[in-house]
Amino acid sequence: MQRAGITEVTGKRAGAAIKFEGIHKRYGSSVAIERLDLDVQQGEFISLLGPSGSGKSTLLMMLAGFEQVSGGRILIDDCDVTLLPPERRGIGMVFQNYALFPHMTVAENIGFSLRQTRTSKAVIRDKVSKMLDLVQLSGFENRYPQQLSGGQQQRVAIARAVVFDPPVLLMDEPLSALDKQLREAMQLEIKSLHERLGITFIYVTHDQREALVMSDRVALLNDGKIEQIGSPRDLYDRPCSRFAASFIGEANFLGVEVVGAAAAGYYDVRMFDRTFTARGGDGSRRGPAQCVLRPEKIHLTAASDALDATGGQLEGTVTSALFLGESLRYSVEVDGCSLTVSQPHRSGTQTLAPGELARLHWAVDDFLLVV
Amino acid sequence: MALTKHSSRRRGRAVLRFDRTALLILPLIAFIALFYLTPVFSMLLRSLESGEGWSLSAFRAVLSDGAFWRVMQITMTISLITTVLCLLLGYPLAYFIARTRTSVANILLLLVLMPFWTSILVRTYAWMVLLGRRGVINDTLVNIGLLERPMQLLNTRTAVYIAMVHVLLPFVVLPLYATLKSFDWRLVDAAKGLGAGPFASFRQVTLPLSMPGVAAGAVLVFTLSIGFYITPALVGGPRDMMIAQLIETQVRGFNWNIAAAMAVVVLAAVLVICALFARIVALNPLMRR
Repeated sequence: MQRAGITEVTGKRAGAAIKFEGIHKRYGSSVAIERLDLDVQQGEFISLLGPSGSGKSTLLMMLAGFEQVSGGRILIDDCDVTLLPPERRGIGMVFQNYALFPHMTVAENIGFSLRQTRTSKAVIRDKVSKMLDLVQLSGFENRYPQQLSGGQQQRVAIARAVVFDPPVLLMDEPLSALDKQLREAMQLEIKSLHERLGITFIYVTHDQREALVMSDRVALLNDGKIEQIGSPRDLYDRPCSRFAASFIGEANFLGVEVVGAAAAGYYDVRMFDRTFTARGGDGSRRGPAQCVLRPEKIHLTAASDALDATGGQLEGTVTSALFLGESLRYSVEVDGCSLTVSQPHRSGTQTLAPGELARLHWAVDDFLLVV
Repeated sequence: MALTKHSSRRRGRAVLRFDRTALLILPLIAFIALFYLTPVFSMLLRSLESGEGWSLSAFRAVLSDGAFWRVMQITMTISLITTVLCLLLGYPLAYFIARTRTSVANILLLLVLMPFWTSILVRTYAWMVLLGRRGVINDTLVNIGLLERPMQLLNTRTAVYIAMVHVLLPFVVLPLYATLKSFDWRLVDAAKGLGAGPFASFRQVTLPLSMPGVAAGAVLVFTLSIGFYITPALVGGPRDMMIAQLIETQVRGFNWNIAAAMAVVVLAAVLVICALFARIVALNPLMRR
């Protein structure tokens, strides 16, 4: 399974395409993953995002070979690996707690995979030192993992997982043990590592920001099924369901009644005894539904201000106003229904106090009809 | 024993500085001083006694005694082989118990501990019943026709090993189980993911990381073996005399100073072996933490 790797560590390698075909996984009588199909492109950075228990880690473990599938096939570059043991899949993996070997030095940890294939000592030393360069840990080769900080251990784990030129790198919530600042710095580092290596990255996380920042595509998992898959922008701007809208970003949900189709892709919906236009998928829908309005897409002004009339608008009473530094956060009550509104904090922005009447205004494209 | 010495020395410093609960171990220290150190010290004094005042004559007699060295050699050989056998038998068992379901593991641990609830004398007699010329094993083998005549099982070195391993096995299984139970099995996954097969990942990851348990078990079994008395005396042959028996014959002959000198030499040997062992284990990067 050892691939003909390109020896130059920083050179671009070919990533592998990965196909999950009708994967399902049961634990006893409970179903963890249900008939799941997923195509990962060559060299893509894809995140598996979802709450705990959504099956994202299970999916990763099945790809790595640590969990058996109950049904379906896994293909790496059109080669069926479903029944191969993990040591013969040639996949790099970074574990949640890094799983560095505590009895080996940094250099020994990184060189572990190379020692399994009778690589000569000189080649190992050479590759390990290139890897240490890549993750900026030169000079640390003789330390033990427990003598390193969390961020440094993280880098060793990554170096260890890519030193043998795997076509795919799997990461299972690798940043969850780090503090916020380090986590954000590592996100950018991992992203740039992906660009430099050119191999396929599959990244499991429950942190939506992490998924949005790093990925080419995000697969949102819920209850063992893919809820939605697409670019980070797609997922944020066009959530397909209430779950997707609430898991990624914040959302106000409004109960509406679909009364008819407007222009292609748009619908007339009724709420608060008025008719609004909402954007939705194709097909014709009727009856009760949910609309999503994200807090930062609402423009809030005093009710007395004049306003150009495109898009939707509602009037309500401010019930609370919180100053968060970079933004102001309002709760506005409209006809017994409370909406959250976020306004950027800029000089000149009008500040409304609780009790004041306010007008909420939004662009038609930001008012989304979901299932 | 030798293992905890290393770590407790480091921890002890912190305890004394920060924690007055350290005072709680004073009763234990007093107990050990009274009932362990005092007898050891008085034994040391005895070994230096002779008819007319203090002298090293007892040590001279012991160290120049060929029988003493022969018995010492037998004792060390039996102890070493018993230790190795216990490790070879106990490791797979501890490994299995650590990896299996809790319900199964609890039953197996109970079975491992069971021998502890029976007196060592009773267990040794049980082996005599099993291994004797007209014992259960010989009878069965003769009855099913595998043997024409009963064979000599009792009063052999083999019988000594069987009975001693039986008694001492829990002492390796328990520390090994504790080590393997707290072992991070994701490290094995990591090793496999990096291309190491089941055997390679065991040899390079699981085994080295379970060495503290192996060492603890080995030291326990080895030191306990050296002091074995009843078992080799009852199931062993005349050529399997261990040091405790030799000391006992000296006591019976009222050669108290000779017996004490022998005991001191054995104690010193055990301490040297433990110190060497602690040194080897301390070279392990895990223990240097």
